[in-house]
Amino acid sequence: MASIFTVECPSCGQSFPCHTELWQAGYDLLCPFCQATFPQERSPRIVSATGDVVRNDTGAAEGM
Amino acid sequence: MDSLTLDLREFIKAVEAGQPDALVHVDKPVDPAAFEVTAVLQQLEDAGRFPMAIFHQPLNLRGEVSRFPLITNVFADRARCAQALGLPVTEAKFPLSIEYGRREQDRIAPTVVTPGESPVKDVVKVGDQVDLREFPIVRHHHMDPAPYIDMTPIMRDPDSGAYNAAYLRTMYKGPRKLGLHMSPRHSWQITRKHEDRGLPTPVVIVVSHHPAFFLGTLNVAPFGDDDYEVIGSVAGRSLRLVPSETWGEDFMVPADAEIVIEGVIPPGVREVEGPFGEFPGTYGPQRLRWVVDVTAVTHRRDAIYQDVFVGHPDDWIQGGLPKEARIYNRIKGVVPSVQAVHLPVSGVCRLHCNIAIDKKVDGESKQAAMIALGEVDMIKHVFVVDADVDPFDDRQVLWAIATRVQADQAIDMIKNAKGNTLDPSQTDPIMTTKMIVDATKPVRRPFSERILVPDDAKARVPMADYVRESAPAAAGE
Repeated sequence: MASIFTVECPSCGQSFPCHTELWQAGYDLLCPFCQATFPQERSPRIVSATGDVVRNDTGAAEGM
Repeated sequence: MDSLTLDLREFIKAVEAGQPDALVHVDKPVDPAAFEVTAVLQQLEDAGRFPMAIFHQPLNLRGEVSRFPLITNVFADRARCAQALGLPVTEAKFPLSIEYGRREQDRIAPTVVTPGESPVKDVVKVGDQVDLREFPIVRHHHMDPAPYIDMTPIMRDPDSGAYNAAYLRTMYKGPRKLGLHMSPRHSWQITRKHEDRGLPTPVVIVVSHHPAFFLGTLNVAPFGDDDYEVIGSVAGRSLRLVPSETWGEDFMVPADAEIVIEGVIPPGVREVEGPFGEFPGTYGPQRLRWVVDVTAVTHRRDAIYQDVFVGHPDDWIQGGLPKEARIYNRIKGVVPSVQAVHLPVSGVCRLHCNIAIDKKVDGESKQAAMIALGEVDMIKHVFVVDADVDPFDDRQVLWAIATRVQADQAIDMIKNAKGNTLDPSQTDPIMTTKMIVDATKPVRRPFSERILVPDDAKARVPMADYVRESAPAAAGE
């Protein structure tokens, strides 16, 4: 199961896994913890399938 | 099974009469959507107990005590699976697998009955009358985004007309809407055929039924075989069917089910679904999946709602045992000395396979392992042991690995084989590395024999006659 990235919910701050088919696919993601829906771009922290960390507050990739 | 029809409550009575320890009751109200059903099951499991559990006052999704009691953990013990198929519990190990495999080869045509003869038609709700919130739908694990019905949707192939049943998870999305997850197997094929023609796919979710029905749905018959016929054969009697509310005789539903949900999968519609705690005991990710628009619900007047504790023995055992006979029969044709095959709970009854053979020539063990890997794509690691090792006993299998394996000689790896997308260890979405561990003794050279206490000595001093238990110390001593 290599095809996942994890997304931090902008509402509750918890992270959950998404399949890479959802990566920048234009669908709102659903937080399983607080039920908030949000576009990927609003997530404060995303860890890509290759382990790169993306912080959307700065738009910078930390890299790993 | 005493009656001619499949009736869940007959099974419950039989378990309560024959194995009272195998059934527990929860009388206090619990909220399944707030993880309280799985919280009870997890505590039982942590205590090493795997009983079937009936919750008599589960809350529904409106927060009221549901009219439907909830039964779960039905399959968490092979003895209950044996009982479900009418076998004595003493045959719950490999004889159960062999009997399943024998029945799976046959077919018993279903019997069509009228709605008046069908308990599942006691209560009929269509269109706006349907409200899934009346059910005590279970939210299983902390990252599940919603309650899930995790039982068996049935679909019908538009070309052959054959029915296909499979365990698929469905996520509660609204009073008449569910999300549906499918892997690219038979149900996915049927849905794809409808979508290619721009048509909605009819689907019927059998929420609760006699466990023989659900064990029957786990058959590994080829695509195109009618699952209603296979289920009848596995259950040992003709499955009674009745026309659905939505499609009439064009889609038949099990007449003796407890609860049935009818709906359609609209073509081309995808929504986010998941994550979901899946069979490996890890979460499958959120994905774009199909939806089901619910058209009707029918149920018995005093229907019982059913659930599977997915990612736990309730899920694993029922998924594993139908595969054991299939693998055994295939190996038997090439390696006649095969004794038994087991997919152990420790390998989630999918990823590990133990094979016992009475090896006559070197090489047979590897031959048997390769057949197992070829037969069931979910299997990742195969452990082949000698006939003096019980493949149902993990401790014995690990002993054989500890004492009969030199890694550089006994372990083989096969890269880039088809695996399972839900195996969290895979570094590729599709492919995995398989492993064969040959823990058998060599045939062509002497090998240290296993220690043994003579049977005749044990017979001379039977434990019951010779062993006195130590008396508990008196209070204050």
